Amino acid sequence: MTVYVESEDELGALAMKLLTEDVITNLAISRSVVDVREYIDLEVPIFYIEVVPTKRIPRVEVKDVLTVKETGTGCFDVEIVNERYAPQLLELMWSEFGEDNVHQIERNRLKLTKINLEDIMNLPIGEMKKNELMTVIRDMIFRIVPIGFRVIRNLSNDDKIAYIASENPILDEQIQWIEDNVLSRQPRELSIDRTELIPERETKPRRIVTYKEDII
Amino acid sequence: MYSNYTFDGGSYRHKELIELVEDLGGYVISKYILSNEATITFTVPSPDMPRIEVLAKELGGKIKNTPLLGTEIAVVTPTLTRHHLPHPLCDIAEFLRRGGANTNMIGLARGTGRRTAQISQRERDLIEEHDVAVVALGNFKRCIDEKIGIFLDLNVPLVISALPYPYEVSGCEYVPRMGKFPYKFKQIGELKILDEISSAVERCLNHRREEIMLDPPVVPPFVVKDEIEQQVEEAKYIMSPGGIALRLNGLRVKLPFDVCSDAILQVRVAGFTVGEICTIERSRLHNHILLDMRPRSMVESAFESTMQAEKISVLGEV
Repeated sequence: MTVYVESEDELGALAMKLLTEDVITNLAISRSVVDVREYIDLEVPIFYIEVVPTKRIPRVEVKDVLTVKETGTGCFDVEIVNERYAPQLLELMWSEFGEDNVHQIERNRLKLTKINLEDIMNLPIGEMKKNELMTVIRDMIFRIVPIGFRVIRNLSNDDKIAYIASENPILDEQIQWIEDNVLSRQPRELSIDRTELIPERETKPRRIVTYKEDII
Repeated sequence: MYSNYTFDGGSYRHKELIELVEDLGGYVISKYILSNEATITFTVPSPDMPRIEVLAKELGGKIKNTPLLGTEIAVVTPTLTRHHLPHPLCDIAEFLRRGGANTNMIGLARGTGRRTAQISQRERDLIEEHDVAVVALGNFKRCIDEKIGIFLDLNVPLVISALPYPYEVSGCEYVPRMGKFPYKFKQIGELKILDEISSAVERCLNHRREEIMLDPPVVPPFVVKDEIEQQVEEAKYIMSPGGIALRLNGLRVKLPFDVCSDAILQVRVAGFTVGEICTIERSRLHNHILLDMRPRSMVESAFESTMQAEKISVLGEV
């Protein structure tokens, strides 16, 4: 994962880079994010952020998540094997089959009535993991975007999640300008590093203790 | 001249220390006993300090100079969101508390953004109740240039911390390298920045102290605190931590203004009532009572004029 932050104020950009890296670490998504690119125009002011998520997100199959046992005609005992998806699954089943037909008996056991087996196996849960990751990435973005920049436009597409934010109305020309002048070229690395932010520690020369002295 | 110190040590025989402080004409400001540990903050005349140090050594405790003791400091942030608040602000407040100060963290309601940042009159009044305000701003020089304006006209000594350096601001103390960081400061180089903030606050306070010493109050604020604690019944049952907080030139009594202000005005201190030597005000913070010490010259002139008026009335009767 690489984080690129571009701005005319390099010191601020470096602080923003640290902030981004820390938010990604906190949310534990550093392996799910390939690239993060930020552009900060202090004149307008405008903040652009794009995140490229990894494409290796496994699809979730019903058989991986549920074990289904038929107990009668149209009645099934369903056990949620992977509890990670339990809240989303329950919500999905209630919306697909109706709340009267889906009863939660225990924490991870459901009783379904008036339902075909095929309907259960065809539940649209394949994108569940991807959707979960996208939600976390959006959360990450809104932790990074300056809080005062309330005017936000979504510029996401299939390959990336991108947002542009400002405290003033965002014009199409501004977006076009960023696309033409910033996104069309390779991202630039910052010329300063973390040592510029924090003054270095004054180190005193250490006294080396010989083996014999140590014993004494 | 009084100096402020903190004693950290065992609770065993801590009463000896308190007695010695009182015998030397000093005052105990706060006393926290947690099982076997005692933390006592006190103020004593500077020349008598060696005697306290001898006793502290005997008790096996440590004496630390706390220059910010008896002050109330506002730590101001543009908002109370995670974008602005947690790490740097807590670090600043903690370092100031280590110096003995009482800190209040204040987040503005509409302090976000660059062009849109605002401060309301209520917030302004609230910040101006404090002795010093520490304002923590962000990372970008251009944004700080525009945003700093809303704080500069506050009628309180101001310390501003932000990331850009070199950067100059007139009318306040500026501490660089303290930006919007997402972690707590741990390294020695980082702790130095916090020390700089603490010493900038100290400079502001010393400047204010010199101003006060030109015409000092009749008695120091901690004497008034002591008398209020003894004479006002309600003051013994204040639930807030630090029930009566000291300010540089006054007190914050954490009691409801409407209920207790009259009782406090009647407290007798050194031959005067509190109403004579202090001005009383309603605080914007939880309706507390704010006392500001009047200068000695003002109290004495008022006293003389009342004496004269009494004389004239007595002569008239004769």
